[in-house]
Amino acid sequence: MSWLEKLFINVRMLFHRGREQQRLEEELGFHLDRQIADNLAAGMSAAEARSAAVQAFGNMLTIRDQTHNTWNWTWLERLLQDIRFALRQLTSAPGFTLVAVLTLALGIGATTALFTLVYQVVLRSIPVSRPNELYKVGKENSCCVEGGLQHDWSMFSFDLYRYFGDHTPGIDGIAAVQAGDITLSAHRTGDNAGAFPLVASLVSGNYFSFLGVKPLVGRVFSPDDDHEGAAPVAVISYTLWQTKFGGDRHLVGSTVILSGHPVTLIGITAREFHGERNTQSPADLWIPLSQEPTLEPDRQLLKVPGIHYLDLLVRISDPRRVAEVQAALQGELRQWLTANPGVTQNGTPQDIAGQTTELASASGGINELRDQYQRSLTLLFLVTGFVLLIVCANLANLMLVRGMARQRELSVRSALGAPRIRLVRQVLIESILLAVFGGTAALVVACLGTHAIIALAIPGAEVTTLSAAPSLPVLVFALLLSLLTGVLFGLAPALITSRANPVEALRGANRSTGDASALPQKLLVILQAALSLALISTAGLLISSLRHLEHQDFRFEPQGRLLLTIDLQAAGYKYVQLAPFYQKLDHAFAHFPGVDSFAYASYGPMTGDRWGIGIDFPGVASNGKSVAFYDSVSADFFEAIGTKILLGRGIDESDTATSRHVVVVNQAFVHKFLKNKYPIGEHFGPEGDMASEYEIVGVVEDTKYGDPGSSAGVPMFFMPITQKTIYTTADGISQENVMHFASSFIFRYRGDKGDMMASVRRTLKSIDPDIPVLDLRPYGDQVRSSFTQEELVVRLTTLFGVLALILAALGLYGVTAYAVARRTSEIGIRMALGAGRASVLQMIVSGAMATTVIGLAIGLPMAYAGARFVQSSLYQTSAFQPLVLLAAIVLLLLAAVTAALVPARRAASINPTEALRTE
Amino acid sequence: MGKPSDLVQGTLDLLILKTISLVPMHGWAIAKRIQQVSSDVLQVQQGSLYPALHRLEQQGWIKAKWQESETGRQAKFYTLTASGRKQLGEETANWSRLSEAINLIVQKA
Repeated sequence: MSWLEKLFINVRMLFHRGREQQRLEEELGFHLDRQIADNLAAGMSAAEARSAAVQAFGNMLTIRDQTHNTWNWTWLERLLQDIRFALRQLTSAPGFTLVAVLTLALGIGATTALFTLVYQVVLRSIPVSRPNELYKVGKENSCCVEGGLQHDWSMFSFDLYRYFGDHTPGIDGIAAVQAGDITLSAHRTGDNAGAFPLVASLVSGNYFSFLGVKPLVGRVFSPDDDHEGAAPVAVISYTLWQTKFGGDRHLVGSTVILSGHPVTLIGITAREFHGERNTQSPADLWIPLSQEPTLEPDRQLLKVPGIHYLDLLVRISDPRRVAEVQAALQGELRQWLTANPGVTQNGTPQDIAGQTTELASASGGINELRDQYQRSLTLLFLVTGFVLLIVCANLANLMLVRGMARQRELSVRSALGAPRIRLVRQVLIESILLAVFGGTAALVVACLGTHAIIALAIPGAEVTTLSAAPSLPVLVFALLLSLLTGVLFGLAPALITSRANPVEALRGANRSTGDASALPQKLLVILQAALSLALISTAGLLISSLRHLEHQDFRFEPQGRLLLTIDLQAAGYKYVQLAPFYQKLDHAFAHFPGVDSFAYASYGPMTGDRWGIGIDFPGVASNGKSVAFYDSVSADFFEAIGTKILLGRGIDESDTATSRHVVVVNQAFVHKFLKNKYPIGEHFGPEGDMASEYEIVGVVEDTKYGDPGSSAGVPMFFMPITQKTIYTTADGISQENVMHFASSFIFRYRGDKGDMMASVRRTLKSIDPDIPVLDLRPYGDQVRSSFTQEELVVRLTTLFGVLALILAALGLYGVTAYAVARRTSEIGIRMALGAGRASVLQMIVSGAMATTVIGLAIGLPMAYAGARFVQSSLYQTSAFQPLVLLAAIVLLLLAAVTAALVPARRAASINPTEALRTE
Repeated sequence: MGKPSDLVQGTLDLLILKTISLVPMHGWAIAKRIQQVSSDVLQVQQGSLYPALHRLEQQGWIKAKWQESETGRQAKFYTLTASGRKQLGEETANWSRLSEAINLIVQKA
């Protein structure tokens, strides 16, 4: 008989065991009756016949049992029995079950949520073919446009891309993609009303075939689409297709107007493809590099060899050749720089020899999210690790307490003959069941948690490369974690309790004053207290840092201001159209009811934008190291934004296209470049032979434009947006033109902000309905959005800290309550001998407090380690904050006292006579 | 409480297989037959037959069928399967070897 047939019999037995059991009864019944009939025939009386037959048959129970055992599903039967029993046990202690499942759900759920994010941000590959063959040229992720020398190169011009493509041996392809992105305004032909902004990415013609990405509908680019004069085409993402085009099946082949230019949509990518980078705002639409000059006539990055704006990806199928390819690229880079003296701004051979680049694995794509969030995620991951430890400790404690409470029951069962292995197995099954319930609940918590974290971290994101659904590795992670916790922390108490000698246990039950279990329990509580202290004090530090960060003096006034963000290039404006447009705006808002002042700039403070430039001073040899940030601003900009003018004047109406070229500098600029000089009247200019281009007419305070966490001022200068610097180099001209496209428009207003926002929108629409509003919000909201990540970390750390505190208190409560229950008769005797209620109360509370204090003592160095870990992310907050630490200690002691007081009061209310009578 | 192992280990299986090798039988008849043939020497506890029967069925050496018995009542009749017949051959050979060996020792001593 083959194993298959045996299996078949077994399975049949499994499903028909009810019927089989009945059949067995019939069979045995037939046997007895047949024997009785035989006995009767032999002349016995009815009673004799029956008893003789039964005797000859043997023990009916044993035989039935032995027969059952041959049916091969006894193990399952027993397992089901154990599970049923465990379920009964769990439902009979709903409080315990609920606390245990909740503890597991929160601990594992939080860890899983964080792991889901860490996995997607740090570990996951992008959905392209053979992602591990991809390498990015340059290990840094830079944005967006760069000129001059980069030293460690990570962005390249179109010319350089082609040079690499033509000369590099040992690669299986090279593709270029814009390092930044461009915002375009889009509407379908014949649908002028619905212009909407979208994020586009310029890619080389071989981009999709290089990555191995197939279209869902239509086709992707071929190299033929990517040369000058080719018909303008675009490929869109699945998400854009669904959200903006309603999943229209006939979209492919139709024409869309992108910033005024008709473009044919030729394909839609697969749902999961969001481009080659892991970023907050993934591209919705891809356009060949060659179309950039048409779409951005004032920039034309493609045509300038010295403008570096492309990320390059190479495919290397043989990992052993990576070093060789890297060396080749470095050599080619230097050759190209030597051959193009114009782009190096007359760099010396030594300068060129110092230029290099590196290959970095890009299996996860160009990972901007990793750069941005890795630190925060690591911190949070550590925090959840702590919480998980506390959860495990708490669970172990709960199981231990429960095991102790059941010792009598187990002793009785053991005395009645239950084998030890069966008892251990039952306790183990109970904890595995708990783990399964906890794990399932944890998945729900994890899904909700991931969703919430994504929503908090990237507010308002319609499309994201992150998804809240846990993927397979995450699921496996959560379930393993849950099972491990359950088994590990179920097994120990199971072994401890089953070790009990039944006779001893039955005799000595409830009479002891101390037992072996007290020590591990106390150790667990000490561990919990220590971890909680570390968590809470770290959370305290982060809170304090965030408060400093948010309430710092930004040296401008966000209150009472609205910030309007538009992209004029995306709206199709050319440089020459800007001045008339600004005039119309000035005219419309100059005497607008409710608007006190109105101004605009290339970018406003804290908008995430910043432009740098190398500068020279007259009579000082150019050293290439003087770099300042610059901004083009309208008249009254400083007044509108609330930045104080310290010296001289701001930019005003007198600064016109034809007047002398003036600038206003900030304090840090004066401090860095004009030491011991009176700044007003000094000159400087862009690198090259333009050192006398600008005259300084004013000094303003160091308003924060960039990283809110940096405390030092950064040199900056402000030019009138009306004035144009006449550059001689191509990249200079291109950048200068772009600087005049204002993106931030600031309104200082009175009255209701909702009304004001509505009238701003209305007025803008009346001037030009084709300009999509990228954003319009109170300036305060804009500033706050810079702290999203910090706020998220603080909120979660605080949440976890509170969770840890609650768990620690629960643990302490459990241990104390258990001790009181065990010591009821001891306390009864003490009281009978004259101990007062107050002293009983004190005895119990001080016992609990001793445990807590030891925990705190151990927690102090841990808190210090935690502080050291977060130190570098703290803003104007030292790692050692006695107040924060003290607050954490007081909080923990309060929680401990509360947790101990409940059982202590119960102990104090024990009636000695009754306590002694029980048992 | 007699157990099947009161017989030499595994012997009960051999007795059952041999007994039903000629004609399908139900449990009671098997017990009776063993008793009769062994001239009442082998007192098999009747009930202990059943775990053995069910085990043999699980192993696929015998199969069972419910049919009308001599009394007109439905009873479970056991027959050898092909693999059971093979097993019977092996066990008979084993038994012969074992009993010969024991005989040799017992007679020499």
